[in-house]
Amino acid sequence: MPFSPTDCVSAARGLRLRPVPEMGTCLAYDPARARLHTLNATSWLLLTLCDGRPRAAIAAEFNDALRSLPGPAPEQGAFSRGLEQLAALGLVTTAANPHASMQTRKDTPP
Amino acid sequence: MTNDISPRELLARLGAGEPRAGEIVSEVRTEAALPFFGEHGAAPAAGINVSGTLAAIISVTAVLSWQSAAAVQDWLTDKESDSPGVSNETELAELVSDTLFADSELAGSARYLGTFIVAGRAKRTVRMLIGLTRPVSEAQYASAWGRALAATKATDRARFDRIRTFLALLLDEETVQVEKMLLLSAVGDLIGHSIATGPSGA
Amino acid sequence: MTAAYANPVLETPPKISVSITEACPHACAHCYSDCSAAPKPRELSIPAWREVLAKLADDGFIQVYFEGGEPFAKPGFLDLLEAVAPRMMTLVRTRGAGLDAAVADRLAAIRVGRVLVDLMGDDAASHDATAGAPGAFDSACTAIEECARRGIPVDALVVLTRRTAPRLNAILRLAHRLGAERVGILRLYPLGRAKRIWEEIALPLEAQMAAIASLDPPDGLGVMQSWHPRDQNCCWQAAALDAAGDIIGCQYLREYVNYGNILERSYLDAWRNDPLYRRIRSGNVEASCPDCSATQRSHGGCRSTAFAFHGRWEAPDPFDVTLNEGVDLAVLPDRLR
Ligand code: SF4
Repeated sequence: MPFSPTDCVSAARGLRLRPVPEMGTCLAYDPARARLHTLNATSWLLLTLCDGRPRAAIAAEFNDALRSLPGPAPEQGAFSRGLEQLAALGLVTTAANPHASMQTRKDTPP
Repeated sequence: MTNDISPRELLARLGAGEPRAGEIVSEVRTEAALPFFGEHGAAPAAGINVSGTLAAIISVTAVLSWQSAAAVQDWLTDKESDSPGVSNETELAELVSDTLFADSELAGSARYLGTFIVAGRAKRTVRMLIGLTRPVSEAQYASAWGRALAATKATDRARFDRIRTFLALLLDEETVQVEKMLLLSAVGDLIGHSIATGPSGA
Repeated sequence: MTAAYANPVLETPPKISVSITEACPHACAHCYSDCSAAPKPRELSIPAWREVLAKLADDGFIQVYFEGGEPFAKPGFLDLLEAVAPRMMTLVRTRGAGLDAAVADRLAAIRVGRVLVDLMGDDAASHDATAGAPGAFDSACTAIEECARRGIPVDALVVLTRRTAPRLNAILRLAHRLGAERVGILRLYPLGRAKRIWEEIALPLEAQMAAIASLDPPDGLGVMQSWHPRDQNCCWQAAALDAAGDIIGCQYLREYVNYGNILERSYLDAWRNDPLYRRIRSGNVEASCPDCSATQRSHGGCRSTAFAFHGRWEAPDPFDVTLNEGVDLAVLPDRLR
């Protein structure tokens, strides 16, 4: 899925999240697609940040959150890889940002 | 809902890994278990250096609720001991190395190796390891603890209370298991002859 | 006594299987529930199930696997499914009876998660002989096809017996042709009517292993099986209710345990506090196969068959080659006769 930094990203509607902290995961049930997913803590955090804000804002908060943790952070690009996975599973949807200027949108690589 | 926890809290426990998400399917017997595995937080570092040969290791293992496991971790890293900057875990290590066999010929033979959370299976399994440079009988080991705690209680009541809190977190669990592991190359022929003496004799 | 082995520990269970009815229009020779055409009086009603399932969802269950009897034979089952599906991933195991095009349309609209259809042979003669109902084969095939046609994920299930063993690869090919994604090969359990014909249909372990080794699935068909080195002790995750709402942990434990009724006790209460339930889940077994525990991360294999053949909860599972200890699986233990 091509992303623009100004696109707004939201969690799919109707998702039911069920943390299983003792296994280090969160289950996500998507009733629209009738699928059950497992998300590790990093992906779960990312999903919860997808609240309709522009992708760049979500990326900033995600990266800040990971940086604040002790221990090694995932490699560069974790945000994009994580978002691609969630999008491929249908767990997030994107919409063009109505407030982004045409210029910005044109200048944004796909 | 149960399991009330935020992703940030879980990340704080486990550390951040590469993001991973995928569909899971289970049947009832053939693929009966939801595949949870593959997400294991790194075990916290023991933070204590051990060198030299150990003749035996005492392992105290308990399967704890997350709450109790978190309480163990809080206890280990707490800085409430009297010496500034000294954690409870350091105090525990001192008790094991300095006091445990202080009044016997085994003085100095024990060292605290660390308290670990078992990664890879039931992640709430918490294990405290104590290394011994000389083989010690179970009776000697048990009575040494009794004497060390009594001595600590007499000299430093606050420290005694802290240590007791920690031990209760592990030992009061019904799942607790205390094992003595002997260095295989030092235990004789395994067919019933008495255990050989360790590196320093005993 | 301290634990030599331990299974992973779940604070609360995320999935459950529910035997929604013990009524079935078929008369399968090995039926574990000893079903008949009419429902047994003790069964919970659909309104009662609605309440029970809503509470289970509140308690953190996120997947429910319906089985029977024949779920589609329970009047109101589709309405129940519709009520449950927005909150829980749903799976339905069926013999296919009643799952025609109209029901498949409804299942697609409800967004059922997965349908699992039992195959007892690769043709009408073999399947119907075991199902005890003429036309059973046709309805099973129709069920798979109609689901697959609508994009509903569908699996076939086959119980490994003397009757199905020579036909396994033909069943795999049939299931694939009909549109199944996977076939699950299930062990035969000494439960219900299967006990009465055990010597007639049960295979010795070597023959079971040979049948599994000879599987040759067509490209694109998944095969699920739980023989060595994949013999798991899935009790650590297992939650189940029988048709009366009795808490039984696993459908395969139905004749051995009862942790109370769901109308009188919450599932989580039984999960946390019933000593036998905790013990069975613990994985604290007498022997564990290193290969199976490496692949499955649990110990001792199936607790139902371990208990059936040895009468001890911590016994080794005789369906595992490394734990069999000379047990002849083709002979029913006297205790179960
Ligand atoms: S009884 Fe067997 S099939 Fe049932 S949950 Fe336990 S191990 Fe799994």
